[in-house]
Amino acid sequence: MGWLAHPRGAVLIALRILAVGLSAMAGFGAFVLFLQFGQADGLQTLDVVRAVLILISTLWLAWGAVQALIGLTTLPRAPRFDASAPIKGATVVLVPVYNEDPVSTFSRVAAMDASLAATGEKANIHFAILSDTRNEDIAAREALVFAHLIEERDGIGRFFYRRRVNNIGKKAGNIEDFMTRSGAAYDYALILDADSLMEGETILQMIRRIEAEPTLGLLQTLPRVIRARSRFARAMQFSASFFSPVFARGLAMLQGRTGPFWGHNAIVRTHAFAESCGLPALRGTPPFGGHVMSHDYVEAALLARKGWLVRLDDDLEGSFEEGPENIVDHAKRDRRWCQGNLQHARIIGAPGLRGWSRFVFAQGIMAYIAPLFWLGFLAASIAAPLFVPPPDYFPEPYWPFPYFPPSEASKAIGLAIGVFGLLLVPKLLIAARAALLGHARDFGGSAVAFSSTVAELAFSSLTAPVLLAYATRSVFQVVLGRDGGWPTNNRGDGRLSLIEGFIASWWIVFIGAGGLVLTYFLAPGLLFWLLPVGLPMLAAPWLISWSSKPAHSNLMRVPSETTLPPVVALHDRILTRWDNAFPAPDDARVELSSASGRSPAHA
Amino acid sequence: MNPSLTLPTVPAMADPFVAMRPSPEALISGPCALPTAPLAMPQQKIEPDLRLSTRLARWLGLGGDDSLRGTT
Repeated sequence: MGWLAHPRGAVLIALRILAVGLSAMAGFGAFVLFLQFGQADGLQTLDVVRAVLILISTLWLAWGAVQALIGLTTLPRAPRFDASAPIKGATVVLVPVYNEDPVSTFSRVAAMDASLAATGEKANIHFAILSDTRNEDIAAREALVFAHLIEERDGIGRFFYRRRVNNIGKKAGNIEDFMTRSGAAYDYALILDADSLMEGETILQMIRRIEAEPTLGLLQTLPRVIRARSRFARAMQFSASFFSPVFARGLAMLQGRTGPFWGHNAIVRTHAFAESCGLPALRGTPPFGGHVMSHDYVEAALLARKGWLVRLDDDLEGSFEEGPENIVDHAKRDRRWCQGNLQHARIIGAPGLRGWSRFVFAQGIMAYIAPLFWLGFLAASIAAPLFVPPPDYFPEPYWPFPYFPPSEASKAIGLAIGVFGLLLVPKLLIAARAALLGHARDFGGSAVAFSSTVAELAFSSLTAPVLLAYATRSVFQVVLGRDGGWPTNNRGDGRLSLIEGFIASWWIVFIGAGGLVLTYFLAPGLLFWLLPVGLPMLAAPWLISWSSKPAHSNLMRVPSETTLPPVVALHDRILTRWDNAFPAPDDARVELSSASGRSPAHA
Repeated sequence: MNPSLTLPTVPAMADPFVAMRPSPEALISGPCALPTAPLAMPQQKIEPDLRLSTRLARWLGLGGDDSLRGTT
């Protein structure tokens, strides 16, 4: 089944047509059902508007579901290459940092270097810490901890550190600065984030794979989220570990030569990257002009434009990252990504891009504007009764018997079931397959994995209205060029009090309450249907606070909690030593601790 | 105070190992500074040219830009 795991040519085109076709069918199915439902009391203009909105929303949901369904048909499979071939090229591991805790970040570098040393491979691999840190105290600490790193890992000649005078272009500018200054010294560059961690063996396999395929410009791994502690973070971690690989498999099958770049845990061919990925500032001012914010998608598209292969190898294990601990931190990160993705509207029409790259940009934009279509649908549904003429029970003149229009409620119920099915069925199928193939063992066994799936579905259903509210606000803020205005978090472990939750979400409570009151007066029949959206909005402060607390449940277990990956265990040990050697100054503790990461076992 | 518990007042630099150890600043500006090996990174065209003259030229087949197509 290798031809299906990595489809090419006609198979790839057929698969893409199938994926888009199935999504379109689901969208049009919803459109027609809604029109039939609307005909019951006479088709109004607002019914057509609502049908179009439900078409777009369903199409988007179906696209996600189809990716998962396609991903379920195959298992990750390594491309053909010699996994023990001697490594010839020189590689640099790039670690861009920006005001992060140097103890936490540089100890990751030490752990990866130790992990590489443990493989016994004599590959030429250097590490370059690229600091964009603006805080002078943290910068001074970076220098100190770097010296410690050099001493502990005997790193002279292998470890480098550079701090930029200014941080023009942010992370993309940071990488570009390295390329233009030192890029020619290396054949490959492994790009990480400050919270990235990779097994030495994984790094070596990535280098071998890029050496084995001369047209490969970028190889992306699928990072697994680790070290989640709060309820929210553990739900995200479980989702990223249990569901995401199947969605990524679907993406990998559809990618062809134009795979994704997620900005980190990926290796690039330096000369391919340099010749393809010089990013100018966009015309005009932010949010749509200025420096490219979500540069990774653009760089993947530009590499593909120059003819380089960009590939996601989802079979590669040993690639890790950390995630936000609470809804507010997640929403803050999402706010940046929202602006970055919406900015792609300026780039989607760039000359020479491959069709799939444009489609990827469109997907990114759609991911953020989709909530607006749902919001529009809900608003139009609440307002619809105002425009419905009173029922005419005697449409035929001189006919003595009344005419009762047929109820089309079954159509609405069918539509609701279909929409929920698109959300639930892929995840339930993933759990069923994990049980059948034995993958569920790593997640606590079939029963625990299935219970975790149900718990994750319940949790994501509860938090979805809150997250959609934040996403919608982000879109409006970006369009209006406004900043977020977030409350500060007083504790490094991400815990938020009810008050902090309320400060972050009072406006969501207000909108939720207003929406329900309006529905009660304008369209009381809809009230029951809107409760799953309205109640979580009313409870947003409590949800934010509750989900930020440490999780103690046996549910949502992931493999990295059962068996600590070797590089994570290494990092834990190193971090313990370094924490003692470099206690954070009191005034910096809060700022630094938010970035420090260690496994739950260590914590 | 018990004199045996008093730390010696010998300057740290008297330790030959410590004396050989360069300061963090010396490391960063010396052996741990990035190697000099410049690589050109030309700026790419990432925005469509929406000017009417360009569109017209392209429509008339006068301004086809294939320079961005595959090179490998």
